[in-house]
Amino acid sequence: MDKKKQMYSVPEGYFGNLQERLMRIPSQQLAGETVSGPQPAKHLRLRPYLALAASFVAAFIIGNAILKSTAGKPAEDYTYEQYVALTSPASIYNMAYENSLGYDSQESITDEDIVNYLIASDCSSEGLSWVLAQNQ
Amino acid sequence: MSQQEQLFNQIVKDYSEKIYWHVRRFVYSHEDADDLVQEIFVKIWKSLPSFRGEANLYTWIYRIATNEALNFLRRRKVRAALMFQSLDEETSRQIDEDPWFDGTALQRKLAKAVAALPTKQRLVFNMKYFGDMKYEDIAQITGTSVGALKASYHIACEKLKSNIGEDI
Repeated sequence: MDKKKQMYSVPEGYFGNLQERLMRIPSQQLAGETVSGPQPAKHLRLRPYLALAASFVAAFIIGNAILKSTAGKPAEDYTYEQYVALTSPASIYNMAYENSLGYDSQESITDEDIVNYLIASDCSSEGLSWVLAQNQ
Repeated sequence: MSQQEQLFNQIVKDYSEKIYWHVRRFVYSHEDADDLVQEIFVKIWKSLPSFRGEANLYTWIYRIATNEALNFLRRRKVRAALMFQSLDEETSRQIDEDPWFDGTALQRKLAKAVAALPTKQRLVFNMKYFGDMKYEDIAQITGTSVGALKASYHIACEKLKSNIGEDI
């Protein structure tokens, strides 16, 4: 490859014109001007940074909305029964049994109540069998 | 006319075209090169009072020009990132659409391959291969050792050879 061949060309008379423009720099600098002419408007110079800031804000808002829509209720909004549904069958049984010791006989929870509750809570058959075995 | 102005005008006469070609290979656009040359010479004018002759004028001027070119490339990289654009694609497009590109298809391929090199390799390749500069001068301009420059140049050549499939 002929590396000496210039790959680029310039407009005719460019370098003569360039020298003239460059030689005006001292007088322009001394007069407080710039060679390149007026700066672009501030809002045009800031546009890329504003675009970046806007994209961060949009990502934050969208992310926040998604998190809120998919998050569960705060702990304090759960009722006792809803907590119980999330707990293991064995601990429900034990808790109910312990509570029944201090109950009035008319309000005591029967084994049948517990089993019915576990079935309604979609407790697995293995879990149910285990609970019943504990009761015997 | 002051001594500083006389010296500056002489520098413009002796170096304006050389500096243009030096930065033209970094920016791939005649308009960008023109803007950059003006910025460089403004910097030279402002820095002249502090030039004490500790370096020779040639390396001093090229050091300013090279630093300004690198700053320009850094700004362009940041701008591309902010606009979510690929800098490599943008540079390749600029080379393809440059109305002042006067080379062969192989030279266009070379220009794109050089543009894809890491900055330091691109710098030493442009200065050594296109600029025919001595390693010692490049070392003074860039502040890198001659050994490191030779290694960078060698690696750059190998990458370009494998990229364009021709001997450089």
